[in-house]
Amino acid sequence: MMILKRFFFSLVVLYLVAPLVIITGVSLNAQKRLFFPPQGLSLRWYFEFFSQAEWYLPALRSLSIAGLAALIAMSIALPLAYTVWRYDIKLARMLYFLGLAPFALPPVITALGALALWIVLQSFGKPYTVVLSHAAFLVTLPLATISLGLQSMNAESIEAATTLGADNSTVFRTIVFPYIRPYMMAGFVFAFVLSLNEYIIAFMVAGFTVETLPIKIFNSLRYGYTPVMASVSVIFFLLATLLFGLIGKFGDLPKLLGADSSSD
Amino acid sequence: MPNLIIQAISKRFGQTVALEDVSLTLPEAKLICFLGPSGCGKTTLLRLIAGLEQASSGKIFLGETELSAIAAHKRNIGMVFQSFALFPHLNVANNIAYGLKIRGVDKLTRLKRAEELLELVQLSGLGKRHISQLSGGQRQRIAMARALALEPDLFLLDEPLSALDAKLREAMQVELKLLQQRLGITTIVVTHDQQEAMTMADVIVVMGENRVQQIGAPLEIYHKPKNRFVADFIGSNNFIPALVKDTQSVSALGSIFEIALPKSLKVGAQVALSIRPEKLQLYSSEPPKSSKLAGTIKFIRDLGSTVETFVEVAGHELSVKGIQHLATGDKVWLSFDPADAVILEV
Amino acid sequence: MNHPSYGKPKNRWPYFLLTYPAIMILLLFFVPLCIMFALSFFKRIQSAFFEPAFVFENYVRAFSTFFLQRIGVSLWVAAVAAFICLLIAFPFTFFLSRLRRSRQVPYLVLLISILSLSEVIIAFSWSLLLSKTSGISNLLVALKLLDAPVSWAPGFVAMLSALVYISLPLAIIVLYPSLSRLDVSLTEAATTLGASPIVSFFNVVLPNVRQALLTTFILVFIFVLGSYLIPQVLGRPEHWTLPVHITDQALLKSNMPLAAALAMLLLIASAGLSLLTLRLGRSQL
Ligand SMILES: Nc1ncnc2c1ncn2[C@@H]1O[C@H](COP(=O)(O)OP(=O)(O)O)[C@@H](O)[C@H]1O
Ligand SMILES: [Mg+2]
Repeated sequence: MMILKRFFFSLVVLYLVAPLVIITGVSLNAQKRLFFPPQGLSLRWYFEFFSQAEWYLPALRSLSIAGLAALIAMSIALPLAYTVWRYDIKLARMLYFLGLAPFALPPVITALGALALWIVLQSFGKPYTVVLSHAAFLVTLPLATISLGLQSMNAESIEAATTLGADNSTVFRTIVFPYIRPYMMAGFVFAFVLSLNEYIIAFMVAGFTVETLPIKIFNSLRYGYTPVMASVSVIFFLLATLLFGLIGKFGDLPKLLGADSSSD
Repeated sequence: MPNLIIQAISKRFGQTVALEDVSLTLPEAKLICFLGPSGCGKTTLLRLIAGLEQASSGKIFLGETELSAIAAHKRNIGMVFQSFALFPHLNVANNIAYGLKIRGVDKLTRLKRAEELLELVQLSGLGKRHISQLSGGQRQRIAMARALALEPDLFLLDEPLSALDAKLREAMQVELKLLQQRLGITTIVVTHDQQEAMTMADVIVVMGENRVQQIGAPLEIYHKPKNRFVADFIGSNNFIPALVKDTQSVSALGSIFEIALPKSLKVGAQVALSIRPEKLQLYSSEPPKSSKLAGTIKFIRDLGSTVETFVEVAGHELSVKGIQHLATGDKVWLSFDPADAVILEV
Repeated sequence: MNHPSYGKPKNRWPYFLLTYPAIMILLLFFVPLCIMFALSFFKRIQSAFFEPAFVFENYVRAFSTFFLQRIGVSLWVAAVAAFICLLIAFPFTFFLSRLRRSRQVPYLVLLISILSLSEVIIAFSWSLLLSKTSGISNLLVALKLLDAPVSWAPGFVAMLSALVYISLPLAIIVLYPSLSRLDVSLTEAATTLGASPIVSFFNVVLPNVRQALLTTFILVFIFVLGSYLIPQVLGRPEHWTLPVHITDQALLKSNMPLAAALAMLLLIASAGLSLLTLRLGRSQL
C-alpha cells in the first residue's frame, strides 16, 4: 500500500517536472537545434537572451509592466480589503465581490472587455493600457491574501491596542499593517509573477504595439523555433520558483494556501 | 485477556525524542492511567499501542502475540480520540456500527448492536441523530460506544474528558470507571489531570521527560513517590534540603530528624525530604518536641474549606494545610512524623 | 468578520478610502463588461471597428451550427480535462496534505510556480515533449520500447495532456485547504475500527470532501474553457476552444460585435457555474 502510494505520488511529480526537464535540456543545446537530450552543452542561449535586443527588450517591458501592475493592484486591494474587514458597508462588499470576479471567468472575457474599453477611450495599443488592465485583472490576488491576513488576526490584540490609547489610524499603522505586511508581499509576488506570464489580455489590448515576453515567445513559436525560447522559459520558471520559494521559506505557505493553522 | 507488554520502546520524530526506552508490563482487565505533563509522550505511547505510529525501536506484545507486527486495522483495539473523531457524514447509529459494517455484518444485526451500545452509554434512541446535533458529553459517549462495538481486546482513550466542563468531567470519571469494571476490558486512559487518574485508575503510569517515572497503585504513587519528579507532579509537596548525619538521622534547616534511611545513602550525602502540606503540624507556641522547625508566616490562603499557610523557615518556604487562626508575620513552629517524610536522592 | 468593532462607519473616512478602489475596479473591470454587453448588439462595419445599433444578428450567428459545434467542442474538452485532472489531483492532494508541513512546502512551491507559468511556455514545452526530435519517444526508443522516434503532436491526446498538466496545479491548490483541514483522526479512527487505508479513503475521506470535489471540478472546467494557446499549439483546428474563436473574430476578422456576443455566452456560462460553486461552498458550512 505504502509502495503503491509512493509510486503514484512520484509518477505525478514526474508528470509535473517532465516538461521542465525537457525544456531545460533543450536550452542547453550547443547548436541551434531543439534536441533532447541536448547535443553538446552550452549556455549560449542564455547569453543570447541577455544580449539580443529582440529578447531582452520584451523581457524588460514585461518586468516593468508586471511591477507596475502588481503595485497598482496592491494599491486597490489594500484599502478595499481593509474597509470590508473593518466596516459594514454594502458598497465595499460589492466591490470586493467584483474584485474577486476576474478569476472566476475565462481571461478572454476580461481581455475582450479591456479591448472594448480602450477602443472606446481611443487608447488602443498604448503601453499603459496593458498595465492598467493587468492591474484590474490581478487585483484578486492581493485582495485574497490581504483579506486572509486580516481574518487571521487576533481580534484581542486590536482591543489591547485600543485600551492602550491607540486610535483607528494608529492601530492600523502599529498593529494591522505590520501584521499583514507578509500577506501583502505574497499578494504582490503572486500578481507580479502572473502578470509576467499573462498572454491573452496583453495580446488583445496591445499585442501589435507592445510586445511582452509571452507574446514574443508565442510569435517565435509560430515563426521559427529557437533554443532561446527554452532558455527564457527556464529563466521564467526559476524566477517564479525563487520568489515563491522565498515566501515558502520566510512565510507559512501551507497556511497562505488555506491549510488549517492549528495543526503542526 | 493477557497482559500488555511494552518492551524497550523508543520513538523519535526527526530530531525530537517523544519516548525514550519505555518498558512496562500492564495487568489485564484493569483501568490504567498514563499520567504526565503535556508533551511527555503519553499520546505517542497510546498511538504506538494502537498501531497509528511505528516505534523507532522496541516491541509491544499482548500476551504471546506481537502486537507491533500487526497492521493497525487488524489489531482489534478500540480507541477514543481526543477530538472524538466522529464521522460527520454518518449518523450516530452508523458511526457506532462502522466497524461492523467493514466486517460485512448485515444491516439488521448492526442496528441492533448499535442500539445495545447506545443503551450501554445511556443514550438510547439517539441513533438517528446527526453528529452536529450532539453536545460535547454526548459525542464523548458515542465515541466510546463506537470503540466498544467490536468488543476490543484493548480500550484506549486519549484525554477523553478534557473537552468537557468540570462538573460533567467528574461525573464521567466515575461512570467510565464503572463501565470498565462491568466490561472487564483492559483500558488505558491518557490524562494530565492527577485527580482524574486518582479517581479512576487501578494502576497509574507516571510519565515525564519522555520516560516512565513510576508505575503503581494510586495511593502508592501518592505516598511513596520514587523520585522528585513524581513527588512534585502528584499533589503538592514540600521539599526540604537535608544532609545525612548517620544511618538514623538527617539534619535539615538547622534541626536534626530521626528517620529511617535506605542503606545505600552514605553519611554526608545531600538528600531532600519530601513532605505533603497536610502532614505538617503547625503550632503557635513552641511544642515540647525534640525535632521541630521555627519560622514566620509569610502568606495565608483561605479557601473556606481549608487554609493553606506559607511559612518561611531559614530562608525556605514551606506550605501547611489545616485550619488555624493565625496572621501574617506570626512566629510559628512546625513538626512532622518522620514516617510521613519520603527521602529523595538529589 | 473578526474585527472587534466591526460595524457601520461613524464618519465619511471609510467612504473616502473606498473612492479609489471603486473608480479603478468599476472603470477597469465592470465598465468594460458593460461596453462588451452593449457591443454584442452593435453592427459590424468594414472601415472601422463597429457602429452603435441594436440588432440581434450577432447572437443569431453565435447560435449558428458552426459556433454551436465550437461551443460543444469547448465544453466537451473542458469536461474531459477537468475529469481526468480531478482523478489525479484528488489522491495526490490527499497524500500531499498528509506529509509533514515542512515537507509540503517544496511541492507547493513547484505547484504554484507551474500554475503561474505562462500558457505559452507550457504549450511550448509540451510541443517539445511530444516532438520527434526532443520528445519522450526518443526515451522509449532508447529503452527499446519503440523502433523509431515519432511525433505525437498536434492531436487530441496531446492537447488533453497539456490541458490536464496546466490545470492540475490549480486543482491541487483548490482541493488543498479542505483536504488538509480534514481531521487526520477521522481516518485513524476508521483504522482502529478495522478499515484498511483504501477502505477508509473511500468511506471516510471521499464522503467528507464531496462538495470540495464538485467545486474543484467546476473551477477547473472554467479554467480549461478559458484556455487559448494550448489548443492552438497542440490541437488541430477542430479542437479549438471558444477563446481562440473569440480572439480570432476580434482581432483578425475585426468583428468585435460577434466576438462580444460569443464572449457574453461564455460569460453567462462561467458566471453561472461560478455562482453555483459559491452556493455549494456556502451550503457546505
Ligand atoms: N507527529 C509528530 N511529529 C513531530 N513531533 C511530534 C509528533 N507527535 C508528537 N511529537 C512530539 O513528541 C513529544 C510527545 O508528544 P505527545 O505524545 O503528543 O505528548 P502528550 O500526549 O504527552 O502531550 C512532543 O515533544 C511532541 O512535540
Ligand atoms: Mg496528548
